[in-house]
Amino acid sequence: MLRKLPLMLISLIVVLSIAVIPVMAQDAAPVPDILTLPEEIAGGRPVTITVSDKPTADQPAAVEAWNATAQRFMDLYPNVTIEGLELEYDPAAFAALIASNQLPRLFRTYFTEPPKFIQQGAVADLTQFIETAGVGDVFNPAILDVMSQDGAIYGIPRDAYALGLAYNIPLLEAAGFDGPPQTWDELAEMAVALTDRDNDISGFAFINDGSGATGWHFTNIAYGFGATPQDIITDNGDGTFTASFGEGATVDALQFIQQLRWQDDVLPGATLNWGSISEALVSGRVAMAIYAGDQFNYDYTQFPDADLTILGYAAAPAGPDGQITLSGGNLWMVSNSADDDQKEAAAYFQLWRQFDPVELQTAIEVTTEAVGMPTLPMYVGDYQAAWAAFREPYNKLPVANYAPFIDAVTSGAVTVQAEPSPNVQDYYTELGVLVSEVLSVEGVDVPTRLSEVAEEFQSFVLDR
Amino acid sequence: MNSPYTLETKMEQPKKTKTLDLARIRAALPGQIAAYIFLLPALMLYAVFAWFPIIQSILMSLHDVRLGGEWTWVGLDNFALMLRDPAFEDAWRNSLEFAFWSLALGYLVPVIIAILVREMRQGKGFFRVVYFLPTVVPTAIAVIIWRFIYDPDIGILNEFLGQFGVSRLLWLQDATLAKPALVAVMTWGAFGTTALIYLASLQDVAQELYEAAELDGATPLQRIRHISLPHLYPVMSLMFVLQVIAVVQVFTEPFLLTSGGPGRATLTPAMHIYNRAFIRFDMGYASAWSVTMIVILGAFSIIYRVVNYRLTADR
Repeated sequence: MLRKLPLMLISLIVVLSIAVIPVMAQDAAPVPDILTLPEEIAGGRPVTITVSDKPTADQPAAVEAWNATAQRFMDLYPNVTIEGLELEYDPAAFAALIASNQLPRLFRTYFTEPPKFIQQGAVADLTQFIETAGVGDVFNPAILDVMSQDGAIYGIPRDAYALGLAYNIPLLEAAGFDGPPQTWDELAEMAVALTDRDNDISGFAFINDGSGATGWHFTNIAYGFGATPQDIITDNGDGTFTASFGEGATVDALQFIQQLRWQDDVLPGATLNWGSISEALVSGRVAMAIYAGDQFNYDYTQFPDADLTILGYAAAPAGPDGQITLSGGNLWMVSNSADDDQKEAAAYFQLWRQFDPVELQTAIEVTTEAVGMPTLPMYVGDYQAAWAAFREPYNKLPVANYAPFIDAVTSGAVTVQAEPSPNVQDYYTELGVLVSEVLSVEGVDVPTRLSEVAEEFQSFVLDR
Repeated sequence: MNSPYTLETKMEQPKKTKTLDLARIRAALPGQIAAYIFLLPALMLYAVFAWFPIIQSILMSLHDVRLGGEWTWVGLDNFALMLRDPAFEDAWRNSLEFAFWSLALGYLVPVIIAILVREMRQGKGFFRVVYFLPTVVPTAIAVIIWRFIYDPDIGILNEFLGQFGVSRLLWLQDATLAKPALVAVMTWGAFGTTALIYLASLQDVAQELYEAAELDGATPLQRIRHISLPHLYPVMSLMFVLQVIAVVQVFTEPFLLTSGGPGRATLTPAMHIYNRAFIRFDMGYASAWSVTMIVILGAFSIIYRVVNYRLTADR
């Protein structure tokens, strides 16, 4: 027995080391603890908050993880009670919830929504909580601007993405191309070579269902042709605005789309929305597409049997001003109908979930979402670097395929340009309708129609 | 429409006096109180879920409404804005075109089916079920099926037409084809119910009339023309009004299949109201559109009833 003791000790040490090494590997790039939480919330008074986006009951593991997270926060602050709701953001449903004061105290929504929530007075000012927590300077200022108005911050960003160009690597290679197009002219040439109608393959696509998403994708193309927000909606400096998109780069971009549709015939005939464009890309019916970085999560979750290694991602082709892109994302907001105690509890619960190192570790180990999406950096400086390094071991996507996009963003080659303002959603809606018209009716006089739409937009929206 | 085959005897109708007989009304009142009490729950439900929202909508149309409850009086500004809305002309023109296509493609289909089923000697029950099946298919499922049928690249309709040399058609992406394509979906989903209504009406026709006509040597077409159609005319008249009202308010099919596109080719007033109210949170403006729809459809119903009454006054 004594002769076997060293062997047993050595075996024990080896086994323990093997168990410890993975833990050490996961802890090798910890996220800095920059969060400052208050000693007590709501002065210790009992407070209950409702939180949206709780996983549905058919995902027991995710529900268990969500409940455990909520319980840990309630253990930290015993006076706080957290009730999860399976409710996910839906613009139509949330209108009724706002009107009836039944909005969840903490809810997730899209980057497109803050202006109308703020205008309706439906969301709370979170500036004091963000600054007291010590995370105000960590966020990417360009992203915080999306949810800010008059110096007040009304949301906590959850994730941010940009529009880029997704492409089918095997299709490009089979056609003799070694990479994505660098310019819009090159894109048109490649799309012609990639289009194969006999096999239902279209060379290029973007969301074309005539909705605001169509206008959003088109505006990204217009930016690629040199349009700026001021070229689209001009701030006259005296409180008035002019719809200027009836001329200039926007006309060029729309004529380019018209050429792709009617002359080059590289666009799909089917109507593509957010979901069906992903389906078309993953199934190989589209070779290249304007694509949001977070759509890879949709591919990962909706098409679990699909081979996502066939997809690459690059920044949108360059125009006269280089590679320009629009952004999008998700954020958390707090209902303004909540009382002060509830607002405090809701804000700190989200900030704790998002910045507490232990919570970040726990969340990434149980998440069912695709880690490794080519998104925009949500933070800045050392924190962003540490955060990215922490997540890297957990990547579930072929991130090497996204190198063209990531390299362009990190090197500063891609400029995230602000959306036209104000009334950008109304602008996207009008442009979406016009793009749909150009795609469905041959021979549309693009300059004339754009001018007409600009005049209507001026009269109906900007002069209202 | 006059028919020689009818069991109704023509009696001279007494002249209706125009003065109100208050004494008679007061005398009848005690007996009617019970009836009104039984009606009260239904009236209250209708008042809460129909009349109150209509009145609220009218009031909202005169205000700038914030969802938090703040209303600001704007008078007729929302209506003036509506007339400047680039979608106004498109939406109402589309409604007229939808009504035209709906009547052209779908008004007579249930009538013909009901008459044919009525004339059947065998398998009547089977065909009644078969023709009603589209009605019980949930709309969301139907839309998925029809989206697949209409797909320009892999849809079975283009595949079928391709066998006859017809090149790929963009059913939902071509502004010219989108409306009839949607009306086909709407007709498919609704003709079964309407056919059943007509069939039920035809059940009231005495079998003796058909037998008498057959004995007189009437052909099937003559029986349909002189017996079936005259008896269906009042129901057809009502269904005409209901169909126009329903089509002008159509929302589900264009919303799910085309989102109002291509361009605004299939945008309907109901869709625009939904977009302004629930996507743009512009409740006051959307209410102005709703009130306008009420006025237009109400005027249509009244005009139609008056014209129809005058045309049939001699019956």
